[in-house]
Amino acid sequence: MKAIVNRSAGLLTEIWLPVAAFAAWWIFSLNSTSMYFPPLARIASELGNILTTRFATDVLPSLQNLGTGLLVSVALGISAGLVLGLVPALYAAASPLLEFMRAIPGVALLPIALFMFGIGPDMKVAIIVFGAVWPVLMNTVDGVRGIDVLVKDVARSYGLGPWNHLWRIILPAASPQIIAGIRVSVALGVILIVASEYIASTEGIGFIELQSARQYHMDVMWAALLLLGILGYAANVLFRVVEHRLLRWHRGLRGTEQGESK
Amino acid sequence: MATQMARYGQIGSRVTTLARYGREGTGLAVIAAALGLWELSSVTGLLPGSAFPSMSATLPALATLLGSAGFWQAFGLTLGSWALGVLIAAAAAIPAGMLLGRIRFLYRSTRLAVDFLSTIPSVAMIPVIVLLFGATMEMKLVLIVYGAFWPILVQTAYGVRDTDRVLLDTARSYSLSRLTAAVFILVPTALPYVVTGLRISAVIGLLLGVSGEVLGSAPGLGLEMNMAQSGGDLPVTYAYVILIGLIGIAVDRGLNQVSRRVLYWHPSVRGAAT
Repeated sequence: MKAIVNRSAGLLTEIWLPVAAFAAWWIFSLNSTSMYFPPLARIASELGNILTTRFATDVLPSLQNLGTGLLVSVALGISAGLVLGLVPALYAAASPLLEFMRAIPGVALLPIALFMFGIGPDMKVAIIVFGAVWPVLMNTVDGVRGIDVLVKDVARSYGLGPWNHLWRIILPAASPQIIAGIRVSVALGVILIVASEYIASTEGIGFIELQSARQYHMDVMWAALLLLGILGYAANVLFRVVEHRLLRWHRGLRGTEQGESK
Repeated sequence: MATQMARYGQIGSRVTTLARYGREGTGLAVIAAALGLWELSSVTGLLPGSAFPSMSATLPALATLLGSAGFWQAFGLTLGSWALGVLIAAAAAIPAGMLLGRIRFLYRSTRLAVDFLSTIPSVAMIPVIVLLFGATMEMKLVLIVYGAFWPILVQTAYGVRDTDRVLLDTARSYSLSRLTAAVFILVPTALPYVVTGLRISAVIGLLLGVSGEVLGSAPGLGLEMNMAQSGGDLPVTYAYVILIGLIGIAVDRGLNQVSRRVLYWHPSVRGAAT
C-alpha cells in the first residue's frame, strides 16, 4: 500500500509541471488573437491534420530519410571504426583528416551536398551520413582501442579465428562505447534531417514548417514544430529502450564488479 | 640516485618530444598527400568538376578570402555571437542547474520538461525565431542560447547531485559555514561536470550559429558561404567550408586546453598527463 502511494506520488511530481504547462498554454491561448501565437486548440487540430492528410507525402519521407541516413551512418561508422581501431598505424595516419572532417558542422555542408547530389532524398541522406557518422566512428575506435590486452591474449590462446574474435570479443567489448556514440548520432540525425528539409526541398516535416512560416500559417507552423519536438523526443526514448536491452549484460557485469547486489 | 632519476626524466621527455614531432610530421605528410590526391582526382576527372573544384583553384580562393576585410568581418560576427551566446547560456544555466541539483522536488518536477525541450531539434526553432526577430544577430543569439542552455543545465544538476552526502554531513558536523562547504565540497565535485557541459554547449553553439547563418540568413560566415554557393562559385564555397572546419578544430582544441587548465587537479587530467 505504502509502495503504491509512494509510486503515485513520484509519478505526480514527474508529470505535474508538463501537464500544468500544457493546460496553461491551452487556456491562455484560447482567445488569442496574436498572429504569432494562435490558440493551442487550433495547433492541435492542425497537428492531427498533418498526421492524417500529409502522412504519406511529408511525414513518411522525413522518417525514411532519417532512418536510411542513420542506418548508413551506423554501418559505416562501426566498420570504419573497427578497421581504424584494429590498425593503429592507419588510425595515426588518418587522424588529422578525421579531426578536420569531424569539426565541420554538418549544416555547413548543405551547399556542397547541393552541388554534389542536387535536390532530393540522396542529398538529405548524404547530409545525415556526413554529419552523424563521426560520433559512431570515433567511439568505435575508442572502444576497440580500450579493450583489455589480457582479454585479447586469452582469446588468441584459445585459438579463436578472426571472425569469432571480432564477433565474440571485439564487438561486445566495444559495444557500450559504440552505443553511446550512436546515441549522439541519433540526436544529430534529427537536427540534420530538419536542416536538409529547409533548403531546396519540397517535402518533409521541416518543409511544412518553413513553408507555413513563409505563408504566415502560424498554426500549421507550430503544429509542425511540435511534431518535430515529439519526433526528437520519441527517437531519444526509443533509443534508450534499445540501449537498455542491448547493454543489460554490461550493467550486470559492472554491478558485480562493484559489489552491488542489484 | 636523484640525479640519475632526473636524467632519465630528461631523456624521457626528449623521447616524447621526438615522438610528438614524428606524429606531427606524419600528420603534415598525410594532409599533403590528401591535398595531392584531391588535385590528382580533379585533374583526371575522377571528381566531377561540376561539384568539386580542384585543390589548385580552392586554395588560392582561400588565400584571397583570408586577405579580404569582408571575411574577417563575417568571422568576427560568427565567433562573437557564438561566444556571447554560450556565455549567456552558461550564466543562466549554471545557477538554474545548481537549484535543480540541490532541490530534489524541483529536479524531479522539471525532468520531463527539460528532457522534451532539450531533445527538440534546435534547428527546428529557426523558422519561428526568424519570424519573431528577422534575419538578425539577435535571432542567431537566441538560437545559440536556446541550444547551449540545456547541456550546461543538465550537467550542472548532475554534478551537484553527485556530491558525496557523507562529505556534506562531515562539513556540517565540523560546523563549517555553508559557503565554505560549497567552495570546498560542492564546487570541486560539480566543476568537471560543468566543464563537460560547457564543452558540449560550445560545440552545439557553433553548429547552431552556422545553422542560423546558413538557414536563417543571419550575417556571418555561413551566410557568405551560402551566397558563394548560390552564385555558383565552387572554389569560394569550398574555401568557406574548409575555414569553418578549421574554426571547429580550433574551438575543440582550445576548449580541451582550457578544461585541462581548469581541472589540472582532477584525477582524470592528472592521470592523462603522466
